Amino acid sequence: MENAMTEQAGNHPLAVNGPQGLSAERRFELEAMPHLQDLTRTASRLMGDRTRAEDVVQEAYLQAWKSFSRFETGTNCRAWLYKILFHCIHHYRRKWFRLSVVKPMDEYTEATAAYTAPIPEHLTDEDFVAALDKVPSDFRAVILLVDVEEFAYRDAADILGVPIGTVMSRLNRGRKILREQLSGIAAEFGYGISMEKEADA
Amino acid sequence: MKTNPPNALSCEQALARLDLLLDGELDDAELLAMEAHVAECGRCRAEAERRDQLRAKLRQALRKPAAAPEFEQRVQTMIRMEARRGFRFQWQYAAAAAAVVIGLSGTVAYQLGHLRLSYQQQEAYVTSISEKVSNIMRVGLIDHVHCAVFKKWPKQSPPLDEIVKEMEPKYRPVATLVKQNIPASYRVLTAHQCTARGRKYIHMAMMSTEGNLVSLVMSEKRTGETFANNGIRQESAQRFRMAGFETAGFLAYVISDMDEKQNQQLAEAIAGPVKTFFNSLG
Repeated sequence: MENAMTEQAGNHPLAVNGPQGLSAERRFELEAMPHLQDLTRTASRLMGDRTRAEDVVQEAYLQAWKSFSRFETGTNCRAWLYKILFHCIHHYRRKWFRLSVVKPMDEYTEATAAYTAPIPEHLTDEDFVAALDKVPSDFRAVILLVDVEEFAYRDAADILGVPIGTVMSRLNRGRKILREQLSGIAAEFGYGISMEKEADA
Repeated sequence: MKTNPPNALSCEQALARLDLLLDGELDDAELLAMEAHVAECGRCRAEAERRDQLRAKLRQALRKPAAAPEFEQRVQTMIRMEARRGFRFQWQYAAAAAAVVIGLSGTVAYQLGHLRLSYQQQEAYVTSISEKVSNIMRVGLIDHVHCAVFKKWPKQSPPLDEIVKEMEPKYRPVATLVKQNIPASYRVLTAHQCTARGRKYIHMAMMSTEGNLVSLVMSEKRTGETFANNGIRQESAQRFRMAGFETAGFLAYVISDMDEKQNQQLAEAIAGPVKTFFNSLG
């Protein structure tokens, strides 16, 4: 990706007309721009504040434009943009602070073989956002990709540059932590969700 | 826990595959086995519903517009600028440089396409110039500056039928109509649809042999927007001359750096055919 990102827009090989008779700029507008909301949403939840999220999304779009000549029309533009976004997020974090490394969980089967407690009706959208924000970032990233943005495991693995097994274990662990956080929020408001019910299985 | 027939999944096995089922990650054979189990086992079916509910609620909570229209516009403008010249961000100098540019803008208005202005400098200039005109005129002026003034145009233009390919087919005839009603010496630079500051435009830019830059800018009316007469309204800001008119559904502007009389004449020549064409679109 580094090589792709060094290409200069001024020499963009598709700068005049692409295969469909549209300029590269127009094709980029049609294919990449519709995903801006999705990328901003994901970045906001991973970066913690809107300004930093907009910084990385803007950088991701800039890098995407510079390597747009390498993008094959008709392939998954959204997954391609997400891959660039996560590259930018990783770069941004390495630049500004050290990531706490979270080791993936191996006990995938064991952890999913349990009944869970229902989600209380009273929890608001803000409660869900607050609970998700408390999930460690590596797990949160997978939840955002699979549960919210509905990427297949294979695509999520490609976007994050990790094996599918890691996606599955992080997803499982992340969902468990999310339920625990929701349970904590519910308990604060006396809604009575209890994770102990999981042991009921 | 239910009793399982031979080869069927146990509840423990089903629970271990439940997330894969909900995530659409099972192969056909596993899917059939899981569907058979979930159809028979109320407890696992209830668990599937709970897990699915968690995903649904999470999506509902998070899938709200995250990017403000201004941010979307910022990214679009950045790409547009990148498409025209390899520009580099100079955030730390942007504010100071913008002030200089705005200070000089009265004399360099039509050289802006040749300057390597950062996105922020351009935005600052657009804001500055648009504040000098009425709200209704601002609609057209913003797009003209964004989309015509800040560009460096080549000395040769492709044929009109190539240029109009960036327009939806239904709007393409307007480019020919305009070309037929302006002096033959005007060269069409672009005819496209674009977005500026969250608003959509139909935009055609032309250049005279003397180097005057002219835009026909059109945008769908929003509630309450009207020039409140059937004629042509004129305004000026620095070197920009604007003549506004309207069709049933659109605001239209002829904006140029010509003198007021020339701009008005051009607007009068274009307004009739443009109104007839757009009103016929319904």
